[in-house]
Amino acid sequence: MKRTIFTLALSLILGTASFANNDVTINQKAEQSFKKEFTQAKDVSWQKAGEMVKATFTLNERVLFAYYSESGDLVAVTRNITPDQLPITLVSSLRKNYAEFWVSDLFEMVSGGQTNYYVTLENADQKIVLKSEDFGSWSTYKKERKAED
Amino acid sequence: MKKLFVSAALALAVVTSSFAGDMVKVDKKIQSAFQKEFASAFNPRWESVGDGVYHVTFTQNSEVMDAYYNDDAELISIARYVNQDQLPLLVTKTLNQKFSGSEITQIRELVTENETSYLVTAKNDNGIVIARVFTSGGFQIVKKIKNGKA
Repeated sequence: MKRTIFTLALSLILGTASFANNDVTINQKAEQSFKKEFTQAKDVSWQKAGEMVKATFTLNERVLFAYYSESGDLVAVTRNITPDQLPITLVSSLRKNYAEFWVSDLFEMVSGGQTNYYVTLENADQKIVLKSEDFGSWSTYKKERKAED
Repeated sequence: MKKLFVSAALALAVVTSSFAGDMVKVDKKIQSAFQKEFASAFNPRWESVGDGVYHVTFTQNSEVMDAYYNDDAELISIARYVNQDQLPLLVTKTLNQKFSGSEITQIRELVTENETSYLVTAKNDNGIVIARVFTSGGFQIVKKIKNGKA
């Protein structure tokens, strides 16, 4: 069950599932859980995201996103980053192996005490999503050929 | 034996960040391994730091980096300076918990045996603490220096 919620959160973040709208009645359990976990959070706003709710907020001058299940459990925390915010091994690997691609999306995701990074790389023909679970290497999460005009 | 090299590299990363030793002639196989790994490295400077460990400081992609090799030409550690914005979320969370009220003066990212960790130097009214923070958020004090003591 937890895995399913995680997968749903990931698909929302990667943009493969659709968001609902901003007009959300905040899930009370999620809000309580959020206030406990992120006591220093500022500029908090909530969105409905599929079967979950998503909090967008600022913490230590970073914009973060927290995803909660309907039962108020924290599923994942993410933040968008730039390549130079990646651990050295991962950014070096991108420079070495994907020099001909550009980065169109990159985020850090913490779920269940584990940190993963997801990067979307594109060139004229392809779009590749890579995932890192170990701070040291990338694996292909998704690969698609771009439609020809 | 490999553990010994890693400990030596860690100790060096804690104690010194700048190039301290005399220039040394480094074995070709070590230089070759370095050039293969860091093809775009600029201005490498080598020193021997004992226990069969060689330290090279260089610039790559506008960053000053350090690498440590053993005499079998194996890369045993890489280090670079990072700022707080480059830290993973779990590391930041640990620093906020452990060093609230302290000033973080230096952070070095360290990769040893494929494990990434962060050496954080923080100071407060009592002195200086150097801690190693792991990507899981785990925390280990490496060194404490009280004010007035070397």
